[in-house]
Amino acid sequence: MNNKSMKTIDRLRQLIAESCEIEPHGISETARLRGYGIDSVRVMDLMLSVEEEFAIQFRMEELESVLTVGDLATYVDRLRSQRPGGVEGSPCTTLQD
Amino acid sequence: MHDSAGLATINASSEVLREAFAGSLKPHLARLLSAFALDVCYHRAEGDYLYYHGPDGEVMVLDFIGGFGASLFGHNHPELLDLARQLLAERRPFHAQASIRGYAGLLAERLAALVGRATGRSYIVTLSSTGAEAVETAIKHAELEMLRRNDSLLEKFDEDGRRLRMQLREGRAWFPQDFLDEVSIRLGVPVRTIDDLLAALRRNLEQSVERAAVFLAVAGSFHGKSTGALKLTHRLEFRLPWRRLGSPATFLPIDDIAAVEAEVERARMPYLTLAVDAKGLVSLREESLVNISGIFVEPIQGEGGIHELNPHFLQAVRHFSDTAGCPLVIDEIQTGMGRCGTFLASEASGVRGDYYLFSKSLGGGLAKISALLVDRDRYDLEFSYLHTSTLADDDFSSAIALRTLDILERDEGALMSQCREKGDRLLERLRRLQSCFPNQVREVRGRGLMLGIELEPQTASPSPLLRVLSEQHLLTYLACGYLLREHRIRVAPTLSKSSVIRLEPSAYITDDAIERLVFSLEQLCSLLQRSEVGPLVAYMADRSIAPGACATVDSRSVPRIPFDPADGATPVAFLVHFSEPVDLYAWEPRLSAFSETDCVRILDRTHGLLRPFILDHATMRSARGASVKVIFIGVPFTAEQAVESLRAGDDWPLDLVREGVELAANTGCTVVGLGGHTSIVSDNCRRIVDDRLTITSGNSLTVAAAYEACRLAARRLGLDLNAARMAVVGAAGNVGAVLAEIAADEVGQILLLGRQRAERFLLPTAYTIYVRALRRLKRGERSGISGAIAGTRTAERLLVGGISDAEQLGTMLYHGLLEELGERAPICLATSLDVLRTCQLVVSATSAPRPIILPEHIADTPTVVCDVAIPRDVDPSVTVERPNAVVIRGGRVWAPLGQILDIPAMRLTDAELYGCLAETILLGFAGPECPASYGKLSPFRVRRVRDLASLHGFGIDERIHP
Repeated sequence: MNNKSMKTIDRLRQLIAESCEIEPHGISETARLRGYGIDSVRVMDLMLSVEEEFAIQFRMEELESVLTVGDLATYVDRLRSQRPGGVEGSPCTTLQD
Repeated sequence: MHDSAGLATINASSEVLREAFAGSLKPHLARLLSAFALDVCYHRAEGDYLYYHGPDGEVMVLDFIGGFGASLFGHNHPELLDLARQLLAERRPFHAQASIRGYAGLLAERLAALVGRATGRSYIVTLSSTGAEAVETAIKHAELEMLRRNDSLLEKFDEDGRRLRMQLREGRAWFPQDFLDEVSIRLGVPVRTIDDLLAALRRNLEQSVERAAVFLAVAGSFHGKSTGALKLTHRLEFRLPWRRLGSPATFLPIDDIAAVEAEVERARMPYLTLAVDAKGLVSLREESLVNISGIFVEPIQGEGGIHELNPHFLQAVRHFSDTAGCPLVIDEIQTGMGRCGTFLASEASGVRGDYYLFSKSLGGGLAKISALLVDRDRYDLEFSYLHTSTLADDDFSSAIALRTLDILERDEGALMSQCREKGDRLLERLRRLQSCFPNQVREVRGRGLMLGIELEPQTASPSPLLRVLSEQHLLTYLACGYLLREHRIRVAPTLSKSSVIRLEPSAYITDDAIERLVFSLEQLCSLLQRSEVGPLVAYMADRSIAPGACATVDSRSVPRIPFDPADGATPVAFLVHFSEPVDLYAWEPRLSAFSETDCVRILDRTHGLLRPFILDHATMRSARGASVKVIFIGVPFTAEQAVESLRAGDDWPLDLVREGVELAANTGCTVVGLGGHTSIVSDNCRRIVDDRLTITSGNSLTVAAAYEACRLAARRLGLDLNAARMAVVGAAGNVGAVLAEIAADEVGQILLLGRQRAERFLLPTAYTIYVRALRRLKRGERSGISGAIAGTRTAERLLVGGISDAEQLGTMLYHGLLEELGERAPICLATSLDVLRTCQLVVSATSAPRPIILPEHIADTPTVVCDVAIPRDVDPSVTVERPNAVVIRGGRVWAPLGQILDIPAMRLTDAELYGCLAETILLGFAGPECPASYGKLSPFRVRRVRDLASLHGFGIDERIHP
């Protein structure tokens, strides 16, 4: 993962930590989002926070394949790079899904 | 000078050592050991004792594992230690390859003499470092012999061929009439000349010679785990992953003499040769060779469970090895060196091997050394050039081994006789034990100091824990942990057969130590006999419970009656897990002496080791006459473990759920319901893909029940739903959205609450509700939202307009009504909890980690508050400060016809069922016409499930807070 992604994951850790009222450093990249109450059935308060934080908009159908914190970070970065103007300061990355 | 890093290693604490072992060496074994409190780090060993540092000081442990037979001379034998010190002081070379290795030579001579004394033969020895290596060496030498035999056949054929040519040329031999034609037909190739003939016959011989190598071993064998030796090790679990490597061995059923002959005949490869009689007439002769490179046996199978081979069987193997011309390899790695009373355990059968293998105690408990002895007449001189080892033949291990043999032979082999005597004594005591506890000890076997005690599985025990541990082959591990922690005695199960405990102490074992072992085994058997699980398992909670201290058996825990699969009821399965650690003793009342902390400790230790098991079963009838048998399958993890594993990215609970589903399918169930966290770890069932049965999370009926409870509560408060205002908190989520849609048929105004920016999740729900309402209105159904929009300009206009696209219709309805009615529009979006004060009904389904609805959000007037969130959304203070509010936590579902499900582990009362369990049962009643809850919920399915539940007689009522 490049530096920008690392930052993304740290910011996500912070958001998840706030949402669940736990410590951010305990959140691993391989952690399943379901472990933090984020699944297809429950309210996605966290998703809204993430959207706000990164100025992106999720597509619900695409969220189905986002299972871990790492997956979410990758997805967020992808949406950021797809914004008009791309991610601030970084080149658009080629994305494989 | 010693550097500080070196000192740190030697002085490292147990914790550091344990972490290194588990982290970088053997993660899985570390977990297995830790599960049964066997994860001890010994720092010192002497004689029959090992020492570790316990919390209260040094703990002395009596060792009956004995290095799996390698410690015949006890740990750190003083004489051998002295020798070792001397050798080091002398600075003997470790590495002097390509020179004369004196001590190795002496050792070879001595070993050959020792074996020769018993067999009358002489041997050439190859030394190596480990038992498996010795086996590999034996395989290589045996195969080399086979190669030579085959090469000789070919050489002889060629020589005979040359001779025949000369004879033909000189007129001293001739072919009979039509001979060549007959040969052509026989071999299926045209043969017209002597050249053709010889070429065809050579190919024929080659075909018999160039086949894959075949080795024979005995079922239950263990010869090692290196790739060659592994082929000869019977246990499939160890062998199967590497089935592509090398040629498979054939395993003879143990003690089956007929099988030996049959295998030898099966390996017989025919070929043709030419014979010339006295008159010079040439004819074809049928010959055969047996394609077996070697036969391996252990006189007493160690890892296989201490099984002594019948002497007649060994004699048969000897006979057929001779028939085949291949070597008989006798593996005395564990049985030899006097452990069984004589230098060779195979001596008792009178059978002589061609090769002998030694290791384990050959090193005196200090050196790593092994030896292969090959009968001198069979030994291939090229072998020591073709097969070499860098570490073999060193002075150190050879000298230790020589002195070990000295010790063994002293006083005319007194130590070997001692092994026999001590062994007999121990065996006799164990036999007495068995006669006292015939239902706990199945058999006691062995000879000398190679003994095994086979525990009887406790599958008929009144204790569910003992039953399940037995069924899952974990009972012996439990026993070993108990013996270590309670009695400070170290034993291990055999790797191959997990209900046999092997006993292989040193030759110096004292009578007192024997008594101590027997006493502890008596204690163990007595606890098993009385199913006293508490004292047996206490060590896993880091405590000790005296026998007899626990309450007597709960009368409900009798062995479950096996269910009859053919009694006409549809079988369905329901997976449950331990919600809280105390559920452990709802299931096993014998654990009632354990606190919650104890239960947590036990569940943490064993996480992932205990597999899913059938808890119990019950039959239930529907009001429509259908009959279902519910099979409860326990999945051993707690909610906390599930969440922890999800956060660690670890799938072990999901794997257990999958196994639970597999068990359900194998039991013939057509439906499986995933209760509690079993559905959460499987992402509402979506990570289980199985077409053999219907999988459900049961959430539809749970949600339906929640709404029904709401409705009933409203009715009891005298609220008119059509005129009421309902707030749905967390309406952006699936459950909230579904509840809003269900309520819309009856409730006249709905506020969808979500956070800022959640609009785009809330609007689709609003649109769907409006579109359905319009359709209902068209059909003349006026209630809830359809009643509220009746008569509005927006609705009138759209009733006649021909807009068929639902989203467009929904959008027009929403915006039209908003414009027309403003705040009084039937569906409004809101972001602040303050609006709750204006509502008579509140439904909350967010994922907030703590309560968000406080008394200030709820009006003083009669209000129904339905909290379906986990953890709860509604603060307990609401009940206190708003006495006019009825707070409910979803709905209870009641079984049809007042039937009661009496399953201790479920902690249900009366005829109450959990919603998810009820839905599972309903699926059994209704079959394919009932939709399952897989992934996201839909209002259609929730309605359907609700209607079917009603039809089949399920009742719904509210559950009052708290």
